[in-house]
Parts: sequence; structure tokens; C-alpha cells
Amino acid sequence: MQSLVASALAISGLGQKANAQILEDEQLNYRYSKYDEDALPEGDVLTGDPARYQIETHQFRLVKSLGDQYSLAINAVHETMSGSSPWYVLPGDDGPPVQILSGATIEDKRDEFRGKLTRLVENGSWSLELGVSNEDDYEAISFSLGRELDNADKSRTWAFGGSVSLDDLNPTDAELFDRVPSAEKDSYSIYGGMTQVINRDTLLQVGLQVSKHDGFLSDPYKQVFVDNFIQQDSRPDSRTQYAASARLRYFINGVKAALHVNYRYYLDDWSVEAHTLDLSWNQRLPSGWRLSPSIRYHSQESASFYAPFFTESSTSGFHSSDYRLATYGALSYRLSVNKTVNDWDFLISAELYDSDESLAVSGSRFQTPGLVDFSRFTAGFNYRF
Amino acid sequence: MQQYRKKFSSMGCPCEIRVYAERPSLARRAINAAIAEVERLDRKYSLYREDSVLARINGSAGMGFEIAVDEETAALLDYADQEYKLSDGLFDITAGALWRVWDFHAAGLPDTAAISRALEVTGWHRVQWQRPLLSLPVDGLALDLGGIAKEYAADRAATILQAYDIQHGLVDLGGDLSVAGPHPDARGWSIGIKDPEAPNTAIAVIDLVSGGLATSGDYERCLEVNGTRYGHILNPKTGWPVQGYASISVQASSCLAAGAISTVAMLKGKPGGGGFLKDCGLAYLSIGQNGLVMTKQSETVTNVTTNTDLPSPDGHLARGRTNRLGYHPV
Repeated sequence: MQSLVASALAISGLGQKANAQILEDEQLNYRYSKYDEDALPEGDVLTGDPARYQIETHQFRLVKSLGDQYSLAINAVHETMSGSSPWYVLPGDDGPPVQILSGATIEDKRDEFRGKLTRLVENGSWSLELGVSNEDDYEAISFSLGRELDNADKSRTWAFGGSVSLDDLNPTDAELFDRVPSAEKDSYSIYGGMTQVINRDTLLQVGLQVSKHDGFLSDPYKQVFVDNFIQQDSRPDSRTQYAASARLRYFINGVKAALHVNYRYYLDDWSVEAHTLDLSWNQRLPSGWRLSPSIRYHSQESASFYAPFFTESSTSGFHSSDYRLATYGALSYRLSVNKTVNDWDFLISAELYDSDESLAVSGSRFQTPGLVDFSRFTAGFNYRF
Repeated sequence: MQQYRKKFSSMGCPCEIRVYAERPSLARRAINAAIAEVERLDRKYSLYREDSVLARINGSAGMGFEIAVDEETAALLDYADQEYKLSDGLFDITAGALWRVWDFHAAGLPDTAAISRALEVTGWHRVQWQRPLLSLPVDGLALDLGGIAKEYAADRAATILQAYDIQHGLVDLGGDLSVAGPHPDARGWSIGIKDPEAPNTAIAVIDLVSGGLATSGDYERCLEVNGTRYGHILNPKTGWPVQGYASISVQASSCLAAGAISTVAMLKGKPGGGGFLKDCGLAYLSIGQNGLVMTKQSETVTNVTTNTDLPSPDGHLARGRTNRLGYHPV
């Protein structure tokens, strides 16, 4: 009799935790986001409008199941950027260097489309993604392939993938400002990761990514002060990057909250080394409300060829004063509020970001004008159908 | 979490699926997938569809060749084989020919010659089953999976719900029940078992926390001749209706197993059925033709209360081929 009862269970699979693979929820998402860089302190700017960049982004995402086995996700982004951007840095008259911002206000639009097809297979899934990005001076096409592998009881998932991006750059006003008229950049990247369900309340994800970029990697819109001359920003024509990350999700059911901890270590062959730590608390409240405050700390060591300005040519021949390659630390504070009503999920969030050379873990030798402080406001919804 | 329910019709009876989910879209996806699975099995094992797997199998009877069946059918045939052996040949999925002989709309009993002829083409021992090859060497021999397809479908539907992360749900296929999980507060699903004497009242209420519940009932389709009632559950060895029980409900870890045990107990009749139910060690409720109610409880079937004062339920009357009782979920 026992064997009869047992085989009945085995035939239908009742009670055995899901072996079936599930496609992502069908849904439509929209996000609007406004990014505003803080104006630089007046004393730090010699010429140019100190008010900086503003970016408005509209983003759509649609996920649709095609039968039982396939899911298509389409992403569209439309972005408008305006403002002035750091051009080069000069030694100041009495000490601290000053930033020259580009005079004319830049106005640019960017459009991006990505389509990703996912296919469920017995122990996981395959995915294929194609993307194109278009702006006045920049075009990129990308292609990526991914594989997810679940173990038998779905307590562990492996993820692997690779991607390629081919970019074409045609800087505006190239002749006028002696910029490279056209250039190419190719990027290749592979990643491997694992997500492990440690117990009912804890989830851990670790990953490793390696990327290689070849081609024109300098910023055609930036210049550098080198030994009393202004030169074009010039960086090596290849860059290899490594990033290792770990993410922890810890669910505290008693108070209906979840703690997220993310850490990322970054290293590249330009000598840039960075640590990023992100902590967020996701609190469920009655009536479908959710509140999530979070804080992120980023600390970075500069590229070997970075300096705010150079008093003599570097031995490598590479020079850049792009603040993004500098030694600095940054703290950002975010607060998100969500409200769920049936199949709708609404979201509003605000972020404040502060960066400074003194915030870096190692402390910086330089004073780095041009480091960015910004605020960002986001609103949007998810609709599941 | 809210409760979502959907009624539908399949396997020749009224069905319903109930789930708890965070959002309507999650409930909808899970329920639709579960219904699709029930309909798939209905199409596959229907006796009344020419393109069903079963029709193809039965069409080959007496032709002298073998059919290679798929994994799922093979598993069900193995299960039927196991049940046949365990019940000493009482549970037999080849009893179709015998069924046709007994016309429960007629005024009188069928003649014994007709019964004898039907018995010649009845019997699982006549079927050649060597997984995955099946052969029906005798013309007229026919398989009828009605005895297990519905319970199997209930379990499969509950499994699909679980695969869609539904942890609280109930599948009801005309009285054959399979649980995906109890109510969110861990309460079981309250199932009322109909009183054979007064089909609009519940004679007992069972709280089902997990597993499946199946009921074999013998009172809804019967023949009364000269004061003797002849039910429609036929003994495949004698060809005659069994005597003893009006209905037996069994709870097991799956609806398939529950159905197998309740059917075999019905077929054994009295007194063998009672002993068989006790030996199984599962929770059950049996109602004898004489009205005697016997029950045994377990952890997953709690609060079996026999109560003739329950309010009249608005549940439906199930008319499956082997007459499952309707129920009234509270």
C-alpha cells in the first residue's frame, strides 16, 4: 500500500518543489528620471557656465511571453542631455587648479533599443540580446549571449555570458576644435556568476566580469594642460577591466523587511582601482506601501596617466584630466517609495550624490576640481498583465 | 494575499480552482496553466474523442500489433497494474465492455448471457503490457482510464500551481480534490461530504490541509429492481454491481492514491472493504448502504465532524462516470 501511495506522488510530482521553469512576468515598465549636476563653486571655474549637466530620461520596458518557452523583453530609452561639460583644468593663479567648462551649452539626444529573447530549457535558460544606441556623434551596436543553469532543486543558479559592442564615434565640430574626425571602439566582455539560496531568508550572489576595450578610448571633448600647452585628452588604445561582485539579500520576516548588501571590487590596466559598497533597507508597510532608504559609498584610485594638469609630459605619452579617472570618494543617499495596487506598482525615488577627493579611502594627492555632485529624481510604474 | 477562484468545465464535470496570490496576474497565470493541464489530460484520455491516445489504443484491439505509449501513459498503466495486483484484480481499467451491458436507464436487469460475453473481453490479465509496449490481443477489449485520469489530473493541476509559486490553493475536479497548500493562516480547506440520503446536506465536514481527497459514490446512478438496489460500480470478476457502501471518501498524499483506495474499498464492499480501509492507515469516511458512518482521522484531515444540522450547501452535484460526490467548500 505504501508503495502505491508513493508511486502516485511520484507520477504527478505533487509536493515536489517546482521543477518547472517559469518565464518572467509579462509586464510593462516606464521610468522617468531627471539628473541634475550641481553647479561648481564659482571659485573653481575660470570660464564657462558653472551650471552643469542635466539629463532627462524616458525608459520603457515590455516583457511578453511567446508561448510556454520563450519570453521577449524590449527596452527603449530616450534621453536628452544639456549643459556644459568639463573641458580641461588649468593650474590656478594661487594654488588650487581651476576647471574650464565648455562654453556652448551642449544639447544632445540619445535613443537606445534593445531586444532580448529568452528560451527556457530543462535546467535553465538561454538568452540572446541585440541592442542599438544612437546619438548625434555616437552609434553603437551590441550583441550578447547568456546561459542560466539551475541545479535540481533550484537552490543554486549559475549564469554565464558574453557580449560584444561595436561603437562608432564622430565627434561634433571636429575640425573646429581639432578633434579626431571619426573613430571606432570595440568592446568584449564575459561574465560568470552564481546565485545561491543559503536558507529561506538568505540569498547570495557572486560574480566576476572581464572586459576588454580596443580602439579610440580617449574623450574627444576633453583636453589637458600639459607643460603650458593645451593638448587633447589621450589615453591608451586598449583597456582591460576586471570586476568582482557579491550581493547579499537577507529577509527579516518578523518586521517584513529585507536588507540588501552589495559590494564590488574593480581593477583595470590603467591602474584604476575601486571599491563600491551599497546598503539598502527595504521595508514593507501596510496597504501595499514599501519604503527603501539606501546608501552607497564609492572609493577610487586614479588612472596612472591622470592628473588635474601636468607640469611636464608623462613618460607614457598619455594624459587625462577627466574627473572620472581621478582619485576620489563618493557618497550617495537614496530614498524610494513604492505603492502596489493589484497589478500596478508605482515608484518615486530621489538620490543625492556627493563626491570629493578627500572621501577616497587612500586620500588624494591632488585637488580635483570638476568632481560631480548631483541629484536625481525618478518616477515610474510597473504594470503586470 | 487574496483568494482568487475560477470555475470551468472539464472531464465531464464542473470544476473549480482556488488560489491565494499576491496579485491577480499571478493568480491568473497559475490558474490558466493548471486549467490548460486538466484540458490536456481530458483530451488525451477521453473515451469520446477520436483523436485521443485512448481511442488509438482501443482501436488497435484484436488487430495483433503493439502500440508504444508515451512516458506519462506508461506511468499511469504501471500504476493501474500495481493497483490491479494489490486489489486482487478488483481494480481493473478494462471494465468498459461490462459497463455498456448494464444500462441504468432500463427497467430490468441485463441477461446473464450478455454479462458473460462482456466478461470475456474484460480483464487486465488479458492485456499485454511490457513498458513501453501495449497490446490488446482480444477484439472488444478496451481500456477506460476514467477511474484514474481525473484524480491524476487533479494532482497534476495542483503540481502546476505549486510550480507557479502558489503555496495556498485547491483544485476541485467534480469532487476529486488536490491541495496545493492550506489557507495562508494554515487552516485546511473545509470540505463537506454529501449525505447520500439527503444530497443537499453535508453529512460530514473534513478540513483538508494537504494531499488529495477522492470519493467513490454509488447511489446516484442505480437500478432498483424488486426492492433491491443495484449500484453502478461493477465487480470486474463477477460482472455484477457491488454491495455494501453508498460512498467512501479517502484522504491520501495525492488524489490519485486516494481515488485508488476509495475505489478498491468500494469494490470490496462489506465486510472486506472496512478491513481494507483500516489496513491502509489513511483517513477515510465511509457511509454504508445501511447508513452507518465510519471515520478515521489523521493530522492532515482534522475536524471530521458528522453533523446532520449543517445548512444546505449551494455546492454542485458531480456526475462523473464513477459518480464522485459533490462537495461544499466552506
